[in-house]
Formats: sequence, structure tokens, C-alpha cells
Amino acid sequence: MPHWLAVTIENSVESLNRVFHLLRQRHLPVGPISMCRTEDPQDLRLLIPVDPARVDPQRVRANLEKLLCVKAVEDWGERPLVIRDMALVKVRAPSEAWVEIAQLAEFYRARIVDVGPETLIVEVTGSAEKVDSCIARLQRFGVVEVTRSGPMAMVRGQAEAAPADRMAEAAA
Amino acid sequence: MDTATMAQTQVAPRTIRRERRRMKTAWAVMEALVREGVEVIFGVPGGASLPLYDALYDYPQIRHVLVRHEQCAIHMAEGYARATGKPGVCFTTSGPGATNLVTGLTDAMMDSTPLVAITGQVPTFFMGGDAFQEADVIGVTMSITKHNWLVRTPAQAPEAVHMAFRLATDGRPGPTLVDLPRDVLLAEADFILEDPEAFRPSRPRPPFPDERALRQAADLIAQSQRPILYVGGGVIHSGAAPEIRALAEKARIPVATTLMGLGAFPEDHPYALKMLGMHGTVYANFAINFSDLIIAVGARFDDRVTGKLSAFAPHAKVIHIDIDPAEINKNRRADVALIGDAKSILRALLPLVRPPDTEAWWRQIEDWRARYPLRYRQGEDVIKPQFAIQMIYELTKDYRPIVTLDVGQHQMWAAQFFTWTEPRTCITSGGLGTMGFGLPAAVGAQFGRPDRLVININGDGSFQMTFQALITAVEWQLPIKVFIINNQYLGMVRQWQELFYNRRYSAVYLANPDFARMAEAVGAAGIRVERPDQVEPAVRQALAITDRPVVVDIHVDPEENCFPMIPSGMTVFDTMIAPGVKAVP
Ligand SMILES: Cc1cc2nc3c(=O)[nH]c(=O)nc-3n(C[C@H](O)[C@H](O)[C@H](O)COP(=O)(O)OP(=O)(O)OC[C@H]3O[C@@H](n4cnc5c(N)ncnc54)[C@H](O)[C@@H]3O)c2cc1C
Ligand SMILES: Cc1ncc(C[n+]2csc(CCOP(=O)(O)OP(=O)(O)O)c2C)c(N)n1
Ligand SMILES: [Mg+2]
Repeated sequence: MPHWLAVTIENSVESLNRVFHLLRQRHLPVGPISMCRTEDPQDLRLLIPVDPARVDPQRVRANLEKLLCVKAVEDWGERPLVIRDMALVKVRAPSEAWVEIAQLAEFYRARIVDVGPETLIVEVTGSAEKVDSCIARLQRFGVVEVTRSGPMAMVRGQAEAAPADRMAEAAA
Repeated sequence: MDTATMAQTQVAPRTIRRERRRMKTAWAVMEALVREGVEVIFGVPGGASLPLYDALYDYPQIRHVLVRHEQCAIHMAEGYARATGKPGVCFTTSGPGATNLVTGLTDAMMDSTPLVAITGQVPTFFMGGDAFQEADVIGVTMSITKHNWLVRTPAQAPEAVHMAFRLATDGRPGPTLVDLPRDVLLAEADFILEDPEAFRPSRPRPPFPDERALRQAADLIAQSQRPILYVGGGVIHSGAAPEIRALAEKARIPVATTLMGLGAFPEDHPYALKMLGMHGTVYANFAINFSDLIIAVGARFDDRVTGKLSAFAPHAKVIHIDIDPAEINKNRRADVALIGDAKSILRALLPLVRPPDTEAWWRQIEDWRARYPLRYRQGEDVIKPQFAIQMIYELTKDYRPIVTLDVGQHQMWAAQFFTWTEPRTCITSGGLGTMGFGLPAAVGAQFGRPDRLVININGDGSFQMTFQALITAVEWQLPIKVFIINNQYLGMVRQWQELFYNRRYSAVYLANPDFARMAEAVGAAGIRVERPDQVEPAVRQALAITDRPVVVDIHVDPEENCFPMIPSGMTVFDTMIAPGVKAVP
């Protein structure tokens, strides 16, 4: 289980630049980062997995909190999370393969969202493992292209204010 | 803005309050600087910053010091800041003017020096198109400033300037930069001029250490048998020297300082172990490495202090006091971390402190101190650099000088052979080790502290990196004293080549000009010293000259080495006190 930092930043190219610049500059060993929009179009949330065996999550957090464009850093460490990944998978699909692909999609609770002359696009959502497995099964037909969101996550069952608001309160 | 309004602005008393005025952005920037209490700006004008200099013309209360290279401007700003504690300010144009700041910004970032750089930029409608003298200054300086701002509209300008000042001094000090496109500087707008205090970066602050953490620290101190205070530059930023002294005296704890912490604890005090680290005293390094408790205050466990990190002070617990949470557990794990301003934390901690029994510990330290004093041997003919430095110290100490050091052997000898007693009197480039820092820093320090004697201990190599700062010093008739410890070598590098590269001297010999005549040529006084008996009269002569800078070119033993030395990445057991001779605990 990675240790997640949820970092709310201003939604701009400049602030993304600052965050990535800092992580690179400090050689902080973080895992693959995913980027989510939030209820507020002004914000972006970055989900940054860190391995506590390699770097103290507190240090990553303390460095990120120095940036003015960072509105909030939440350490989700051990908290229970809902984590979802989503992929769009374009597969080569002559019409004789449709049924089989549809059955496979059904099994993964995936959906076919585009039907082209030679290809289908399958949309699959779930844990990273489930999405991996679905893509692996589709390989047999010939996967043309995959885009995926990377994990999006949320802490289960809490009804507090959004992180940025809470942080702003704490700073005041 | 028309001349009538301008004249009014000049005579009106500058009470700091909110007011609304129509003017060009460049003038609003100057208004913000005045409100920040800026008294001197170091810089060079150019195309993109012309509007700013045009506005400057209307603000005679702010002195502008014209430099001959922007690197000098920023080191002057650093010297000013380190001598006064107030942020230094420099102005440059876009492109090459701004990129010439890179070394100084990095230096200030490393040494936590507060300063504000204001750079011109090409007009917004040209930006991104490789316009003449365009450089991506925001991108280039992102990792070497605490924050930087590109001002896109007039309204953003005063806010950016005020925030730049707040952030430069807020928490851990450091450099900030404001990039001002020419079209924005020229645009006229209605400005609301604010009290600078209206601007505050809203950062979450770590809570002040709770009673429990403070008690834990006090308990560790009470239980320790071999405690040591490891005091760094943060104590000087914090103004916590009196609290350090109170803690040391209350608990009878020895104090070692870093290069950046010199002056934070008086070295004429019996508890002072002087500087620790690579070229620190043997007794300071033995003491920290054999300690069972390190109280680190505003110090960042730099590799010049720890040597091989995994072998550093293996039996010590650590209390780490620092204002920057990102410093905690960066290099060395802290047993108790107290995050916040050193002065406030020490004040809260002091009443809880119970003195440990350090009787035996002190006997051990006194033994080390007696066996391994700093030493050198001065003969009849050749000047030993340590002797020259000690003479300079003895002959100037009654003036309580502010001393700037450049980088190299001379820097380490000065760190060793001066007796540092007062914060903000030792100004040097520690973290980046920037050759060329010392002379412009002396100029900046003299602007900040016109009441004090400012001296610069320089190297023959380093002097030639920013020599042109002397021209500025002459122009302003600054009575700074520059002592060049002239060994005709890039001495520190030569020392490493001698000790670790089989004496293969590669690119370290300096075919030097006559520095005294160089000084005379630009209107400074120049004195050349070649024999030991000439040192004292030369220093006295230099002190007598008060209407211009003096350069004293002291020719010293070219192959003298700086000891003690713990070679890079090694441990205290590898301490060399002479070539091939190790210190034994
Ligand atoms: C040739 C050469 C040789 C050198 N040899 C040595 C040597 O032998 N020994 C040595 O010590 N150094 C040496 N240095 C310098 C060394 O590289 C480092 O610059 C130095 O050790 C760092 O000092 P510091 O730990 O005090 O940290 P600084 O860089 O001064 O950092 C200050 C720390 O204090 C914190 N701080 C700031 N404000 C506050 C506040 N208000 N309250 C609390 N904390 C605060 C900051 O967050 C930071 O962590 C050498 C440099 C050169 C160029
Ligand atoms: C800008 C810069 N370039 C190179 C170095 C590497 N360096 C460190 S010390 C030193 C020699 C300094 O020579 P000098 O100023 O004569 O001082 P000395 O060591 O001889 O006292 C050099 C080249 C540096 N620190 N800074
Ligand atoms: Mg030299």
C-alpha cells in the first residue's frame, strides 16, 4: 500500500510547473502522480504516492507546503480510501469479435463507448488491478491504444470541509 | 504622472497608510519600495528596466549603487542583508542582466539570506517569442528563489513587491524575485497604495512545540552526560545568541558553531569550542562525535559538518530546533524536533532545563583542547597566512569590525584565527562557497552599517572574480579594508591536489597582476606586503586611510595547508593535523 499525499494546488500550468520542479529539484522519490479536478474549477488535486521506506512523507509534505501555489497538503497515510482508476481501451474489432468483446466487457463491468469501422473503445473503471487485468484480456484482440486516469482517490466516510478550506482555516 | 503631482509626492510626509493614486506601474513599484523602508538598491539599468530607472529618478531618498556586474549587485545585497538583517535589494534589466543574478540567488538560497531581486522583462506581448534580451527568468530562478512573481498587470505589481519582501524574511529567510515586463511598467493605472503589513502569505504554520515536546527535550538534556550545542546560522537569523548563551551557561554545555553560526556564541567564553566540521577545531569535532546528546539549533547537518553521515556522532540523541519543517529528518533523524523560531523556542525551553552532570565530560574536552590547539609556525622570512590573519584580527578587534570572507583556504584560516564574538560580524558564502562573494559583500555591509569598520579577507583567486566591486567602493568613498591573502594559487584546490591527487598541480597556479597597483589604478589605496615584519605596519597604515578603500596585498607562503582537516566523506578518526598525521581522541 503506498502512502498517499493529496495535494490541492491552483489549477494552472505555472503551479504544476512549480510542484514538479520542486519534486525533481529535491530528488524526492515519489511514485506515479495522478491529477484530478475537484468541485472547484480553480483547484487541481494531485495524488502523490510515497514509499515511507524511501522518504519521510513529512519531508515531502513540508517541502510542498513551502510553495505558494499549494493550497493544501493532506497526508492520507493509513486512512481508508476509495481508489478508482479509469481507462479507455481501443481494440481492433472486426464485427465477428464484437460479441466476445462485449462479454468480456460485461465481466469487468466495462462499457463499449465507441464503435468504429475497425475498432471499439472500451471504458473500464475500478481498482488499478482490475483495469490492468481487463486491458491484459483485451490484448488478444489487439489493443491499439490506452489512456488511463491513474488512481483517483477519496477518504471514506468523512464529512468535513474540503481540504483547502480546512487548511485555510488552520492558517488563519 | 505630471511634475506637479510628482513634486507633491516628494514633499508629502511618507506616512504609511492606505491611499489611492493614479500613476505608472514603475512609480507604484517605487512607492512600494519606499513603504518597505528600502534605503539602497544595487543594480545596472538596461532596455527592459528603463521605466523603472526613470521612476527611480524621482526618488532621491533611495540611493542607487551602480555596479559593474550584476553578480556584484546581488552579493552587495547579500552583504547588506547579512550585516543588517533587512532584505537587500537589487535591480537588473531583462535577459543577461537577470541571468547574471543566478549565482547570487543560489548563494542566498543556500545561506538563507533575505533579498529581493527586481528584474525587467520584455513586454508581455513579446514574451515567449525569443524577443531581444528575453530570458525565462521565472523558470531559471524557480529553484533558487523562495518564490518568484511574473507581474502581468499593473494591479499585481505592488502586491508582488510587498509579498516578495514578506516572504524574503518570513520563516526561513531567502531570496525572492519580481519580474516586471516593460509594457506593464509603463502602463498607467489607479493604484491602491497599502501598508506593507497588509500583505501576508497565508501559509499553514506548524504549531508552536507543545509542552510535551519541550519537556522531552528538557529531560534529554537532564539525562545526558556528554551534551553539546551545535549552533548554526539560524541562531543569527533569529537573534537568539543571548538565549544560546543562557542555555549553555545554565546547563554547562559546550558550544560548537558552524561556519554560518560564527558569532552566535562568543569564542572568548570558556564554553566555546569554536567552529566544528571539515576545518573545525579537533576538540569541537571530537566533542560532537563522542557526545550522547546534540542540541542542534538553526543548523542543518551539512556534509561539511558531518563528514560521512552514517558514522557521524553514532551515540548521540538529537534535539533539532529549526524553523523549517523540511529540515527535520533531512540528513539526521531527530529524537525530538522543535519546529519554530529558535529564540522563542529557547525561551520556552530554558525554564524547564535542569543541568546535567557534565563534570567528567568537561575534563575530557579540556584534555582534547589542551592537546590539539589551532597552531602554525611563523618563521623569519616568509609570511604564514595564519600569522597575517591573526595580526589583522589583533589590530582590528577593538573596532569590532564586520568581516566578510571570500572562499578558499583564507576563509577557513580566518574562521579559525579570528575570535568571533558578535552575531552578524562574520559574513561569508557557506553553502554554495561562491568565490567572488567577499568583496561585494563588504561593500553591501558598509552601506548597511556605515558606522562600523568593514574588512574583507580575500584570496588572490577570489578577488579576481569580482574585482570590479572595488570601483564602486571607490566611487562611494567607502573605507573598506581588503586584505588579499596572496598565495599565488587557487590554494584550497591546490591543497586537495597535494593531499589527494599526488601533488599533480593542475590549473591552480595564478599568474597574478600587481594588486596594489591595480587598486591604485582605480583610485583605491594599494599596499604590498612581502615580509613578516611588514604586516603590522601595513595593517596600521590601512586603518589610517578613511576616505577610500584600501587593498593590502599580502604575499604568503604559497604551499601552506589548512589544518585540521577531515577529508570529504571521512570521519573524525581521519582528522589530519598535518600531512600524514592524525589526531587521536
Ligand atoms: C571551503 C569551505 C569549507 C567549509 N568548511 C566548513 C567547516 O569546516 N565547518 C562548517 O561548519 N561549515 C563549513 N563550510 C560551510 C558549510 O558548507 C555550510 O554552509 C554550513 O556548515 C551550514 O551552516 P548551518 O548548518 O549553520 O546552516 P545555515 O545554512 O546557516 O542554515 C540555517 C538553518 O537555520 C534555520 N533557521 C533559519 N532561521 C531560523 C530561525 N529564526 N530559527 C530557527 N532556525 C532557523 C534554517 O532553516 C536552516 O536550517 C564550508 C564552506 C566552504 C565554502
Ligand atoms: C565560483 C567558484 N569557482 C570555483 C570554485 C572552486 N574553488 C574553491 S576554493 C578555490 C580556490 C580559491 O582560491 P583563492 O581565492 O586564491 O583562495 P585560497 O584558497 O588560495 O586562499 C576554488 C577554485 C568555487 N568555490 N567558486
Ligand atoms: Mg590563493
